[in-house]
Amino acid sequence: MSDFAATLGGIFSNPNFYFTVLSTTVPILLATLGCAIAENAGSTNMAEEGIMILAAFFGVIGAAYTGSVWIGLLVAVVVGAVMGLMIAYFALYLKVDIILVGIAVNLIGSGLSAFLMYVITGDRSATTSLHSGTLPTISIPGLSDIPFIGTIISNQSVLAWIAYLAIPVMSFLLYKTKLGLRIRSVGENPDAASSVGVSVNRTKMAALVISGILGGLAGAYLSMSYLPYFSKGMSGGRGYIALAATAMANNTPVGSFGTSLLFGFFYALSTYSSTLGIPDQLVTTLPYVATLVGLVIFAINVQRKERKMLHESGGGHSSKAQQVADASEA
Amino acid sequence: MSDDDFLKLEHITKVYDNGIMANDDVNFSTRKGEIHAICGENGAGKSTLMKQLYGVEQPNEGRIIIKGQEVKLTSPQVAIANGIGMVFQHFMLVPSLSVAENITLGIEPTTGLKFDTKKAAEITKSVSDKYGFDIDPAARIRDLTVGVKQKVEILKALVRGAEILILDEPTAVLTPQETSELFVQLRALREAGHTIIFISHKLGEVKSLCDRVTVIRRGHTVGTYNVKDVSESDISRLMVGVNVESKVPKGKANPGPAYLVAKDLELFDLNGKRVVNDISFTVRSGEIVGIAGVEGNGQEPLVNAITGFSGGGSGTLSMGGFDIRSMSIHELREKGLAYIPEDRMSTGASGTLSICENMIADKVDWKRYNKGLLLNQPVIKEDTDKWIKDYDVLCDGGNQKVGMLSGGNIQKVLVARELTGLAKLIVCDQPTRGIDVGATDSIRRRLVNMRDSGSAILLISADLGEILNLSDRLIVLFEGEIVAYFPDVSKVTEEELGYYMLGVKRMSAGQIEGAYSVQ
Amino acid sequence: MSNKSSKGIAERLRSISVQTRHEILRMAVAIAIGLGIAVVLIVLTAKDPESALTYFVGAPFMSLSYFSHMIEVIIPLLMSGAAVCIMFSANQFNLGLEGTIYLGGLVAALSGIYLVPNLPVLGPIFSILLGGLVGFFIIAIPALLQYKFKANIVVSTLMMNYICLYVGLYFLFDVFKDPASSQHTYPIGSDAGLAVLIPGTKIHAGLFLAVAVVIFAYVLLYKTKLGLSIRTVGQNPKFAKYVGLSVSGLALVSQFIGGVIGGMTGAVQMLGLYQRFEWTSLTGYGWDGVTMAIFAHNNPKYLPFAAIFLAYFRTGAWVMSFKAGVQIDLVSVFEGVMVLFIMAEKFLSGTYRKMIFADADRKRKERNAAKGGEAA
Repeated sequence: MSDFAATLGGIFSNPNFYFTVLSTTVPILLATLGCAIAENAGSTNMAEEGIMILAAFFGVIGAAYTGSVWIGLLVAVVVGAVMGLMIAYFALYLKVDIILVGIAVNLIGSGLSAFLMYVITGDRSATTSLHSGTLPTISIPGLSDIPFIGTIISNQSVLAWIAYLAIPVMSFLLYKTKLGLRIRSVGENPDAASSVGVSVNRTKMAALVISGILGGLAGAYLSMSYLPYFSKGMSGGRGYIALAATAMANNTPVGSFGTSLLFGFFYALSTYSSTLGIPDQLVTTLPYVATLVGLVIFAINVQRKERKMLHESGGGHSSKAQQVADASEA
Repeated sequence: MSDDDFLKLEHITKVYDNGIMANDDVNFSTRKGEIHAICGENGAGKSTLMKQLYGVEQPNEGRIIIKGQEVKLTSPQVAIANGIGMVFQHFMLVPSLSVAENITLGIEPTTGLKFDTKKAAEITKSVSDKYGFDIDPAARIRDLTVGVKQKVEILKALVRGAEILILDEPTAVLTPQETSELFVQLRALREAGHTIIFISHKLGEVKSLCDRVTVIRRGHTVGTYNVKDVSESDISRLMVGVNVESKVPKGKANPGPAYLVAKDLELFDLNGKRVVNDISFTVRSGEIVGIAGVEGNGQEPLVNAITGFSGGGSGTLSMGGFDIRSMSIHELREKGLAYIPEDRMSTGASGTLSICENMIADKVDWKRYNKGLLLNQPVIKEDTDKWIKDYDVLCDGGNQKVGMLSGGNIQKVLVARELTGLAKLIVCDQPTRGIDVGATDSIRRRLVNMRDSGSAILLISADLGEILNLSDRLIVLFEGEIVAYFPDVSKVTEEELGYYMLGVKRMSAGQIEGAYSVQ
Repeated sequence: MSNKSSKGIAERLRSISVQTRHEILRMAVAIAIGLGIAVVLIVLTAKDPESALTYFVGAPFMSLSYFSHMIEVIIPLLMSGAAVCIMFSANQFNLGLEGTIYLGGLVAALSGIYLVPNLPVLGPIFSILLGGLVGFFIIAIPALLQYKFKANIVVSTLMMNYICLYVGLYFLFDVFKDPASSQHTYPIGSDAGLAVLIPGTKIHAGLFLAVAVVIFAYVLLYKTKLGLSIRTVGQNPKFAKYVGLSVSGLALVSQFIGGVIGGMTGAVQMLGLYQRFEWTSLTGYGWDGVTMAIFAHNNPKYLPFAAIFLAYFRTGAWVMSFKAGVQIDLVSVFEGVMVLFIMAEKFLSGTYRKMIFADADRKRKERNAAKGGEAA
């Protein structure tokens, strides 16, 4: 056991471990922020999985055929935005249940990317033959010299910087701008928003497009930073994880950072698990179990808050109002 | 106060998609700077009229003229642009946002990319100060009391430049203190030149606050009067009017022991507000007890409590000797509860299920309908066909989806289901609202038949003709209390009933005591 | 009242409600769009579009092995489709079948290796039931978390799928791996697998079970009081509460049944087609179940049609992939597009309004014509 503790200590004192944590967190974080903004507008975006894989694929294709990873990135972002629009169209205007839209888009995304990969490259599993390249990494001269921390943050992809910057940007967007105000109103009380002339569908559509763009960035990171090529099924369920991370973070950008970091941490840990002598699969299970627990805690909290609100507004008759509430739940 | 053309609604006719004519050639006009009440029974067409004025609904015929200009109010935005604001009964607010954010939603002040919180607060503050509303712009809506939320709603309209303010039963949710505070502010608004359209049943409030009153009855305008020229009783009489429907024949009741017993019953809403206040009454087997009253005076919580939809409260509530509040809906139904709910499409029936499935939804446990592990389809079919015939449901057969039927036929299916169960106690909430004359007549006859075969029936209805025709005994609810009790309904007139329903008159405690009759 | 026997076909057709007719039209157009997109993609990308299309459209009838492949594909489609139909009928968006299928398959394989390797007939049945039991326990977790705490069922079941996968992978790699291999278990016993029905094909006895499960699901949902109650809850929970049904309890029951079928699906798939447990990722049959339920409008009666339809084109795409070099993943695109259009409430809504108006108009004319005879 002391061996185990020593190895674990070794991992935790190694800055490379934290470098891995930060880089594995990036795609989850981007997708989680995407789910969060859609969720704030009252739309559950289950399609990040499909958006990510399509963006990852088209990004690589764009980069390979233009010779510029930047154009590849742009292509990925545009694909994400278009997918967001498509989801909005089907969910809001054709009235398909948004969960089913998500399922369908994921199906289309995984199928289309694999299908076109073979058509375009002749490869069945990965686009290694394309040499599409990776986005540059950034190391800031002063910062990279700091011991320990320097190693963690230096040479992270430019998209990692964008992802972490996206946290305050999303916070600003949601809580400080007109669009954010409208997104939150539409999510919370669409009748209130439409009664003062805020178009519910258009606002939701804006949120879904932003959500798509974030998914596009996540996809670009996967195929143009994390790995230098596209491989079949490379989104690997991160879109679903993002949905869970959002729910656990109560849809806030800062909370999303926390919950996606949790996943990133365990992902990174699982790559070290062989040295620890514990099965990596079980380590990988931990964030999912944590999410289940988190969901329950979150749900209990919501219920308690509702009760508390009743209690407070109930004034003198609070106990009776409480009974009423309890009875109506049963 | 001379400009009678400030706002004019001429010959407004509105027919809903389900064929109900809610407004039939309604005329209405207000002056600048007056508080104008609109009074009418439930379903008279007040809300429909106001929805058209706020652009939520569009009239089929007629014109809306504001300051001499005919306008087409195609959406709330257009109405807002024409200086109309509306405060709905259910607040249109976003609970997690601040007062200032709610007020400026849709017309947000910005600096650069940023929503300008300071400016929004200033806007809120300035308009709130201007009209003497004392409101903290930074407060979260969810932390506010109902009264303050309503002020926010009014400010929302004022910020958007509303000159005409529609208030839909604004005092229904307020305490007396909040009500009087609201009235002070409404009078101040009138002084500032605003026109206020005040929809209410509460005649006392109309008398004390309003300048003129327009009475609407069954989709028609009865007339517009100066409030100082008419008494509360006059308004009440104008609102209630006389029913022209034919009466269902009915013999003398032969009541047995008390089946439904409510004693010292108090009920509270989700906000903890007392909505039923210390009432005692019984319904005996073999009689129909009517509850008259303007909607929102405690009927809904009472019905919810009796039918097991919500618990809580204090006092006794029992059915056939069993404590209602300790039983589930399933158990209540097993003990003989039948319930015809007001909301027939979302509660009383499932539109996407077939007539057969709707008919036996409460009877799936019956031996008769199960054969081994399976449902006994032939018997279900046979019974459903019989009921369809008995209750004269116009349909293509038992497998048709209920949602495809007309309102009256859906109600017949619902009534058939409820009355073919044990039906020892039948709670009917607006059993014939909005359905055609034929279906109405047949449902009423059924209820009388059920009474004669020994069911205890509690009838809640806004239709006074129905209440007076069917009830053997009659209770009037006002603000959650029993204000009148008539042991013999045959002598009661609609006019007299109206006085009690609208709180103009009230009986003594001794007279009301009779409602609780164990034998 | 009604004289059904004398109704002509035309009249009976007319008696199908406008809604139903419009749904059929919408389904047909959705399928046409899906197929159209697939055809366009094939024509644009295949080296020999003509032969590729021929395989796509006709493969199952070109050889016995292709036909048997189609039947193999049908089996899990039917089973997971039935499971999802039952859960969706109660309006429960439980997406946890993937996990039940994965672990159901693993447990059935282990049972076939260690518990009942040499017991004919009863052995496989036991293994499949064990798989069902595992499915029950897996689904019970998110279902109970929803029942007790109102935890979001979509998210919790998605998480459950991954927990099942990684727990399964742990047992596969670290406990039950055949040391001589990289990623599979020992082979199952000689009598542990499901019998092949037609020699020379891989069509196995699981087909009987799949058909039985579909019949069970249909009978349960449409012929028993439990099924009627489940559907009532799914269609209108407020109405269900009003007639005295336990809304959350029935939601729970529907998921339990779905979970059991899910576990059995995995077991059947494992014992019918594999010698060893070698799945290293989720199988996708759970998602197939969702697609199936959507195609069947949650009514198990239509599952066979949906399964044959999907399996037919999946087989076509499969054959096309090795005969004409068009990737099989095309079918995902084709299915996804169809799901979108089938579920689009407002799709062709203009046509619907025209249809409903024409219907109302016709009824009015009929009424007017009949008015002379039957005065109401």
